[in-house]
Amino acid sequence: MRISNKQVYLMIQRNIDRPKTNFLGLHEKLSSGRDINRFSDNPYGAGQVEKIRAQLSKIEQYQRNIESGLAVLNQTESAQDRVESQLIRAKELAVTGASSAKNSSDRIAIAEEVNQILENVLSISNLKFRDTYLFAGVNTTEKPYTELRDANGDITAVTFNADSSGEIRHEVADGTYVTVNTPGSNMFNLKNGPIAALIELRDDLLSNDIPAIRSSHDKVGDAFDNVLNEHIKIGSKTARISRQSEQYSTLTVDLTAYLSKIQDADIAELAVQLGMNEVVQRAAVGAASRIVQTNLVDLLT
Amino acid sequence: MSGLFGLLQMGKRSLVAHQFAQNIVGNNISNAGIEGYTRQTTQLGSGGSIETPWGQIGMGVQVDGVMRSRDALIDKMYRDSSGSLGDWETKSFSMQNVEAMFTESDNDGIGARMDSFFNSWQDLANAPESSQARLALREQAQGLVDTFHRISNLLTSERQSINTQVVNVADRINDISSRIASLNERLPGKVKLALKQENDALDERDRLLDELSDLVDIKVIGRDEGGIAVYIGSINLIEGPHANKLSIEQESNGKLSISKLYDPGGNELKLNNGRLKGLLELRDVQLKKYEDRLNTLSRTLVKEVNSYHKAGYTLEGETDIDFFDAAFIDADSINLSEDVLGNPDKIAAASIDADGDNGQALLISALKDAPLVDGDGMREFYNTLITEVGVDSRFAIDSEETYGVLQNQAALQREGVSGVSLDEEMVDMIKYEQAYRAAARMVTTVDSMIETILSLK
Repeated sequence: MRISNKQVYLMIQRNIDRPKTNFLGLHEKLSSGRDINRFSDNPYGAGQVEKIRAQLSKIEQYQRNIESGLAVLNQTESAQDRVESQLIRAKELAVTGASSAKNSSDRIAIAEEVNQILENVLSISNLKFRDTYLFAGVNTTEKPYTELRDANGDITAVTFNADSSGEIRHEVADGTYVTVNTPGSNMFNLKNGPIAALIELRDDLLSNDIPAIRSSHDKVGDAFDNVLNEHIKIGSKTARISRQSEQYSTLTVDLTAYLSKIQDADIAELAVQLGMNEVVQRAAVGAASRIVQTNLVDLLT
Repeated sequence: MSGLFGLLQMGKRSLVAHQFAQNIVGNNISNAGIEGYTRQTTQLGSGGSIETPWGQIGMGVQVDGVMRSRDALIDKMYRDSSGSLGDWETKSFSMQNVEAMFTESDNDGIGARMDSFFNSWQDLANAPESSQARLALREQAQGLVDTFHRISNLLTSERQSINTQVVNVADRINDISSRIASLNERLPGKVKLALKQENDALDERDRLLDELSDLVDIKVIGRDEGGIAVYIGSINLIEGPHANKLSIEQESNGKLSISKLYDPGGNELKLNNGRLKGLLELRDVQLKKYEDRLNTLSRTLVKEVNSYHKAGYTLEGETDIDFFDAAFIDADSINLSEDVLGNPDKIAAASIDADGDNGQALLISALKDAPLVDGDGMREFYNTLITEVGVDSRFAIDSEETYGVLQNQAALQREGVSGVSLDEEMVDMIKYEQAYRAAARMVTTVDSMIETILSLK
């Protein structure tokens, strides 16, 4: 087979270039720490990477949503705590007030304290969280409860503003929404809620009417039960989404590990390949130098 | 002629012939490194014979001609693989540029920006009364829009630069054609063993044909009456000394200036291989495909977000407000509406006129994965696009490598036939030198024989 000098040079050049090209590829992976530096390195893998990134971003957002929802729920729960303790005190006062050992001036004093409790509960009903009213349904920028006062400045009635129902939902999983607010009507229902009961109790104390006091004591008790029930519901909601948040934390770790597996380079393996490549390169260059030296011209002198 | 003077002539002819042969050897050695040089071999033949009473006797040596070692079949193989290599080399180069345009990092790239954009709708849903959340949302939207612009513009400028190359290549083809045609004027056709070949000119023509084969898919046909014809597919580009030109027409389609190519017959140029084919396919098919996909994405985004946004209520109780400017739906021009740009509070989060309602914000954030684009979500659609970019790029890179190997093989084979081997030339040089010396010896011998005769008294 006939071999021309140029053939030899072409082949040598190609065989020396190949390990050099390989070296460039390995070097890029080593210095970036990534197996996938562009889509063509691994198109399918690159697609997977995008999918996982999108998922991680979504989960991060759900975590934020849960955090935000928990803040509202926690505020609601602490408001409920306060209402409950106020109502317990009111019940105690009702019992004392219904006792025959008390006289009308005692009852007036007790009514004073009940009035104070009433004011507290009213201000809790208009509680603000982050600049918005907690119990105003979706009309969060308008005060939900407005009171009417008599000539002495005492509350006679309370009205409910606009439409303070309406749910505010947060998405905590794909297509899963959680209502994070508590409409005022669930807690401060004007027909049989704490406010009405307290007004009645106070007025009954002021009018010195023992049977009425007993009846409004029961009403306060009912109102307390309602608030407590609502409180328990919220408690279980909080627990549920907290659990979801924990699951997300675990999932994030898993996904991140998976992402790394696809994306990141195995440094040890690359180092080995680099070493092998160097051996090949040296061999190619060494062989080349031997070949180009052998020439008839040298021998013909 | 016979006799002593015949002998002298024979010696002279041998000297001349072998000196000539040495000349050819010297030429080969000097030109050994030149690109495209075809080695030449002196064809020495018998210088005829004469009749004598004792039978025919030979009259020495003569130079029959100079053979040029070229194999037309190997040339064809080389040129075919050059054409494929040119096609895929071009595509591989451009696709790697395109890949770089779409590169996704953790917070840049259309995918990441889309995620952030839709996420900020949920942040708004968490605090629907907040102007702060609206400002953040608007910023994310702007980032997304800017990214659309950036990539779309990069694609357009890549297409434009490819167009410039198309024009350059077309001009080069026309230039090479005329040079080949003028060479054809003085060169014969497919004859390999012609006696009076212009080897330099033939080498030059072959070099030009090689270059042409990289640019377009050519078929070289020798003509019996001399000269060669070159075809691109069924189009006759060069016929002997006549070169037919490709013509170029500029068209403008909005922001892109496209040069359309026409064959000598006036029809739009259709190619099967070569750099030009690669360029045209990139410009008109591949890159356009990616642009179209981007546009589909931006149009869907504008249409869907706007339709839900218009049904929502702003902080001031207004409704029917566009989020994106409805007049600009393509990826290069998509923009936020003037309303939103002027006042972020005009971003509607609520489904009813209540500040704390976040219904629309929730609905809009759900658009990211809703099956709005041929049954896929927008994020999914985008993921598919970049996977395709990766696959296309990978395929181009691999094809380039494959055809590179093939071309290299063909080049090696061609070298095997046409290349100079210095060792071989050395041997020939010794051969001819010895023959020359022997011929000279013969001349002096015959000279002394003549001397002997002349000194007879």
